[in-house]
Amino acid sequence: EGLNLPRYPSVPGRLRAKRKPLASSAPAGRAPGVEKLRLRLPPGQGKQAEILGHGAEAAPAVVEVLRRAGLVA
Amino acid sequence: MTLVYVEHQDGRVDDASLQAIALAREIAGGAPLHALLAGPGAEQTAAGLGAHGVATAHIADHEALAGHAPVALARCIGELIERLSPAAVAAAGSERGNEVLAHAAAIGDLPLAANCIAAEAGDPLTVTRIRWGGSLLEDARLHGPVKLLTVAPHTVDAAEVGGGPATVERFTPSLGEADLVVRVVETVQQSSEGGVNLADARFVVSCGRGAGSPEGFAPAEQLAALLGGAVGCSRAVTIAGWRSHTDQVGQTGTKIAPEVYLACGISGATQHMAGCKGAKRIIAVNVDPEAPIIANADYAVIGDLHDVIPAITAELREGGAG
Repeated sequence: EGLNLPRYPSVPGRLRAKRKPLASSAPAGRAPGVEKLRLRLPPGQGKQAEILGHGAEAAPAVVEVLRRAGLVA
Repeated sequence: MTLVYVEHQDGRVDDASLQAIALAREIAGGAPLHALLAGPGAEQTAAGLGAHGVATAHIADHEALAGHAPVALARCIGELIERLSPAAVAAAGSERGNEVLAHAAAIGDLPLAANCIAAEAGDPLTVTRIRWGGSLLEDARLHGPVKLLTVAPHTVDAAEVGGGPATVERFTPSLGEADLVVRVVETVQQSSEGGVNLADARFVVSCGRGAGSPEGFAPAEQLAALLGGAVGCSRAVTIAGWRSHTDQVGQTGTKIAPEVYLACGISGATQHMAGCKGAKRIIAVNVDPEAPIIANADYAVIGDLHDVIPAITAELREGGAG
C-alpha cells in the first residue's frame, strides 16, 4: 500500500529467526586520531541584547552605535 | 617544524591564511615555520610571509596547479610531509583549506581537526575546535606522527612578527591524472556594481523573511551604499529566490566578521548565527521581542525593518554622512 508501511514478521518467521546463527565480531579498532576530551558551551551565552528602542525612534541610538564602531565620520 | 598551506588571491595572501599562520606559530613554539603555496601569484606573496614568521616558503610549481585542484594540492602537502617531517600541518578553515587538508589526511592516514580556534603546543596536540556551527566547543587531542588542523576564520588574530623575507624554494610535485579529476577550469567574475565584498565588509546589513519581497531589500541596499558596506541575507531569502546565494550569511553561506552587523527580519537560527558570530557588534531589528536573535545580539530594535532601516538612513543623512 504505502512504501513506508513496515513489513511485520509472521509468528513462524519469528520462531525461525530464533534458531538462525548470529554472527558477531569485534573489530580490530584503532586508536582515534582525534580524541574528544569534552564538549562545552562557548563563553558569552545567555546575554540579552540592549534594547535601543522601538521602531523608527531607535534610529539615533543605532547611529550612535555605528559612530562608536568607527563607521560614521 | 610546522607547515602551513597558504591560500592567496591576486597577489594577496588570504586573511584566514595569515590567521592560520599565527596559530601555527603558537604550536611550533619556536621551531621553524614553513609555508606551501601554489598557483599563479605565489611568487609575489611567498617572500612576504617572512613578516609573519615564515622561514621558508615552498612553491609547488606545476601547470596543473594553475587552477584550484584539491587532491593535487593534498599530494603536494604529502610530498612536503615526506621530505620535511613536520610535526603539524595547518591551513585556514576556509572551504578550500578544509577540503585540501581533508584529502591530505585521508591520503596520509593522518588525524585532522578542522575549525580550531585554539591549540597548545605538545604531543599529543591539544586543540579547541568549533562544533555544531558554533553552538559548542570541543576540546580534543590529536594523536599521530603528523597532526593536521585547520583554523576557523576570524577566531585567531594574525600577527606580523617582523621577520626578514622568507627563503623561497620551488619544487615540482609528481601529479597523476587521478589527482586532477576535480579542478577549477574556469572562474566567472560575478559583476558586483563596485560593491563591497561580503566577507570583508566592515558593515553588513542583512534582511531575512521579514523583508517580505526582493523589493523589501531596497532600504537595506541604500543604507549599505551610504556606509560603504554590503548587503547580506538569510537562507530563507535565497530559498525564496529573492537574493542570490552569494549574498547568504550563514553556515552554508558566507562567514562574515564586520564591525557592525545589522540583522533585520531574521529570526536568528543557529545556522545563521554560525555565519555572523565573527561580527564585533550585532544589532537585531525584529518585530518579535522573543526572536532567538535577540539573545545572540548585542543591541536590538523592536520594530518593523521597513520603518527602522529608512529611519537609520535618514538619521545618517541628517548627520551629514554619505
